[in-house]
Amino acid sequence: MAKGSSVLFLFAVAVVGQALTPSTYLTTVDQQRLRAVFESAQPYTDVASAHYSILGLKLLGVSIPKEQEACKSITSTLESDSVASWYYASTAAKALNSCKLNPGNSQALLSAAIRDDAAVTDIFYAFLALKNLGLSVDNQKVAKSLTEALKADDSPLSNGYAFLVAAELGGDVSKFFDSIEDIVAQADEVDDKYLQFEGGLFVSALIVDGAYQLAEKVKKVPTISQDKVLKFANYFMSRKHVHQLKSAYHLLSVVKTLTTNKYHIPVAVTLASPVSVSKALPNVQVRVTDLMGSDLGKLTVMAETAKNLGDQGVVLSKKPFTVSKTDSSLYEIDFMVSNPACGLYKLTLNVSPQKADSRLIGTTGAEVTVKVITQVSVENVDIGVADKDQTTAAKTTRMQYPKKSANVVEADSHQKIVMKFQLKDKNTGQLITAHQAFVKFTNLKTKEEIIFISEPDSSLTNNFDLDIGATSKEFKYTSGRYSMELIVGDAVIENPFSWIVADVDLTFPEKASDEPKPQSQYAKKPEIKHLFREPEKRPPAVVSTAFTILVIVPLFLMFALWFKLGVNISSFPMSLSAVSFHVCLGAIFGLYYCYWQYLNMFQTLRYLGILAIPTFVFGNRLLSGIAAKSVRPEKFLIATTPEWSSVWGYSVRLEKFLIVTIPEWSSVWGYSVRLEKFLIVTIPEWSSVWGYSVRLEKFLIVTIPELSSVWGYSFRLEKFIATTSKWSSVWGYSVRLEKFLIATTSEWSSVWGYSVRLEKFLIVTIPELSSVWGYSVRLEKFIATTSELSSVWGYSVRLEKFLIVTIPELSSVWGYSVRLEKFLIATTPELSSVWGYSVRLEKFLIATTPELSSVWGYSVRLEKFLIATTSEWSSVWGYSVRLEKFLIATAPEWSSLWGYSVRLEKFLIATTHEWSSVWGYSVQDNFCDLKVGVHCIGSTDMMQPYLIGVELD
Amino acid sequence: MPEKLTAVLTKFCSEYVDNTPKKLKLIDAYLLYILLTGVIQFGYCALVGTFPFNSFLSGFTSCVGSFIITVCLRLQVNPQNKSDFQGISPERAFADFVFAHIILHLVIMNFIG
Repeated sequence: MAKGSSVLFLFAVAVVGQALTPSTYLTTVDQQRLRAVFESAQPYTDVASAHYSILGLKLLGVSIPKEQEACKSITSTLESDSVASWYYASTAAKALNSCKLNPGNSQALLSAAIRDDAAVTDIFYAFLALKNLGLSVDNQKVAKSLTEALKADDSPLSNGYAFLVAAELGGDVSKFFDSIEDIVAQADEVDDKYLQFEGGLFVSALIVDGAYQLAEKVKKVPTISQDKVLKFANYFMSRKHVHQLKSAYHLLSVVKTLTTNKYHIPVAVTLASPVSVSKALPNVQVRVTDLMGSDLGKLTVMAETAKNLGDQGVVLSKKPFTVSKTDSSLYEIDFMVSNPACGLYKLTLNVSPQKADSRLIGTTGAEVTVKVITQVSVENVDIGVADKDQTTAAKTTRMQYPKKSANVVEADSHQKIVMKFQLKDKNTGQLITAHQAFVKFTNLKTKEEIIFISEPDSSLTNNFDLDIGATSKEFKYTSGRYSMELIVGDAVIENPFSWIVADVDLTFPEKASDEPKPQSQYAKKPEIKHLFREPEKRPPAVVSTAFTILVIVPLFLMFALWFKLGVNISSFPMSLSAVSFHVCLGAIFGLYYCYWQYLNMFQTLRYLGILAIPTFVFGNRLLSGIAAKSVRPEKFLIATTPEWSSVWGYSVRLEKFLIVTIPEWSSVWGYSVRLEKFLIVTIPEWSSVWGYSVRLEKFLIVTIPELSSVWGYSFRLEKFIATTSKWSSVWGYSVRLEKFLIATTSEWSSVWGYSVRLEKFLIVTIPELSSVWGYSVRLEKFIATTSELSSVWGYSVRLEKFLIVTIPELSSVWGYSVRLEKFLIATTPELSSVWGYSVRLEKFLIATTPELSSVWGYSVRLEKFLIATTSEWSSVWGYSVRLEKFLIATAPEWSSLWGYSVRLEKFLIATTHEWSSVWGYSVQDNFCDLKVGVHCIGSTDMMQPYLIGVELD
Repeated sequence: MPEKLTAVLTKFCSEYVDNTPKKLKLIDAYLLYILLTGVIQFGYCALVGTFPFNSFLSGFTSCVGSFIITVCLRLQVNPQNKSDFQGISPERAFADFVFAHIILHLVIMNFIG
């Protein structure tokens, strides 16, 4: 039976897999510390701390210092309207020996707190306060309210409070008891060793405490497995250093419960002797107590096994401990009886009470760790120097610890120092290894230390080789005398040592020059320099300068050529636009220079946009001005009287006209609009005269179908304005009504034409000749004969009579004019070029005022003209050259006046093929022609003819 | 043969001197100046090196561009070509010339670096 149970024990240990038996307990020192925590809470400032402090001290079984003052502070700090306050105060007062708390009106307050919708804590406070104060409690109501409250909040903490309430509550509390298992199941496990509730020590202690108190009440074993109790115990022991008043009280409370309850009392097995075990101190002592450190009575303590943690070797099995002679809770065993090797050992032991006690838990598999330490000796120490490249055994010297070699070992960089040694356990005589085996070289001069590790080979022999050449860097190439020291240490070696084996003279090679100096990582790093690209090779400055000059030379060459060609800027127009244009152009190129040197593209474009506007405006004005000038106006010279030796006139006329005709020739309406601008420059008085003329003409020509006789009517309304500096503005109106009949015979050979013209005109001038009415009657008969078209002789006889009535001086002037004209037009068969000749001989008489009673004038005109046309009608260029010489012989005073007129005319007539509408353009460069001379003849004043003679027509 | 050649050349020169309007001669002088400048720049590039390459390019481009623009101007203002450039007066041609110069040199200044 006993054997079977031990098998079961082993099985249980195997299942648990880990020793859960607490390995510590609340020692006297721990209890003193907790006591200090409780006592330091005095004097109490609130009832809660008084409560925890007084109850904690009571649990420790020590007297409460200054009980009366404590009682007073409880009554003074009690908040009579707080349920919790009443609980703390009543519990604390009850714990004191003679402290009576006046319940006052607390009955109503506390009873009212116990209701269905109250929190579990409030029910707990109120119920226990009522109990403590000895007031009446409705247990039924408490149980019901508690059940309701737990429905609202079923956290482990609430259940813990509920356990405590239920432990005090009469009646059936089994439903609370039954929930213990569920609540405990909610605890969290840590490292397979601890159990705790969320919320920490306070919550865990409260629940475990409540569970055992409730179990006490219902007299049943609480449904908590032994493992869990042990894990809770481990958790509480791990928190035994708590300093918080509330937690300290609850820790103490639950530890007390776990040592005094009737069901589960965890056993704590603690190593009482030093961890190290040696020949001198061979005993291992363990203390077996409950969590408060109390004796558990007579026990049998059995060492199940002692296992080496390194090689798992068992050195002890089933050995009983003996009770210490001095302390009944101490048990001891001689661990060195089996002469174990040095090392760490885990000692597993079982505890069994000699008088059976089922309450004790954690009695099997308790573990303590001990280590066996030993003396060690160093043996077979050989030291020598060998050549690096030689495999032959070095000559070595045997050394004896702790003697230092008498000889100084010398080695250079081609050699190596060899040291061999073994470590032997003095107890067992076996070779062992040490965790730490170093060889330290100390420069005797600089005290610099260089340490190497020595490691054992498979035969547990340390072979230390120091290649001087390869380790030069570690030695910083510092040759000199070093002391060589062997250092051996280990946790299980009782006598670690440091032994100066020998002095060595080391010779290192010269430090290589390129070896970088060892630098601190915080030292200034070398500056990083940016490498710019190699600049291109430049030619010598002389070459560059020479070419620069050479490039400029063509510029001077150009100026020289221009000068030779005769450039002149004398005709540079000093107008605003010309100067501005050149300034703007210069500014643009100046801007380009700034762009090159200073500006970016966007700034440049902005400024360029600003500069471009005036440049364009002025450039346009300047160039269009030059273009307009280059259309040469006609320049003509009229050489006249001795006084006005030369008169220059310029005339520019631009005419645009439209003739709209209907298909039939029978009636033609024509419209003509003419806008004329002209300039007359004369010398010396009227230096420049601008004239404007606007003429709107509407005319109708009605013809009968036969060509034999044609009646034509013409109506012309003319309005014109002429302004001069003297004649500031002259408005002229001319109304002309003309009726004419051309009767022709069927043959072209001779055509007689008659023309009757009646003209009435009005000239209104400002200011002198305020209004002048003129009448002109002209009767003309002419004959034109042709045979072939090649040469046509024409004769014209014109008899003209005219009357000019003016106001007021020249009241009526009758003029007669007789003109006989013979002309010849010789043409070539083709129309392409026509030369015409005209000879006109004219004699005329003007009879005027009484003074100049009769004036005869003669005029001879010889004209040669050429009209060259192209064959197509679409555009016709015509040229006309007219050379005219005339002689006017007049009154005795103006005996003879010769006039010359040269006219060169080029004109273009562009027409479309259809006759229905014809646009015609005529550019005519002449203005003043022969009429000037003719009309001026009757005047006595030499200045007048030219003024009057300018006829706008 | 050489006599003939000199004769031809002499004829050519005299024809040019006599029959070319003064305006065109001015333009021709300007063209010669541009041509020589370009040749010197190119000579520098060939003899010394292209080192400030963008400077060389912009200078040479300036010569070539100006030459082209000026030749266009010369064509347009030549009275013999009047029939080919109907409606383009010499003033209009000069305005085009100035405008083209402004644009060309904006580009060249951008490129000169």
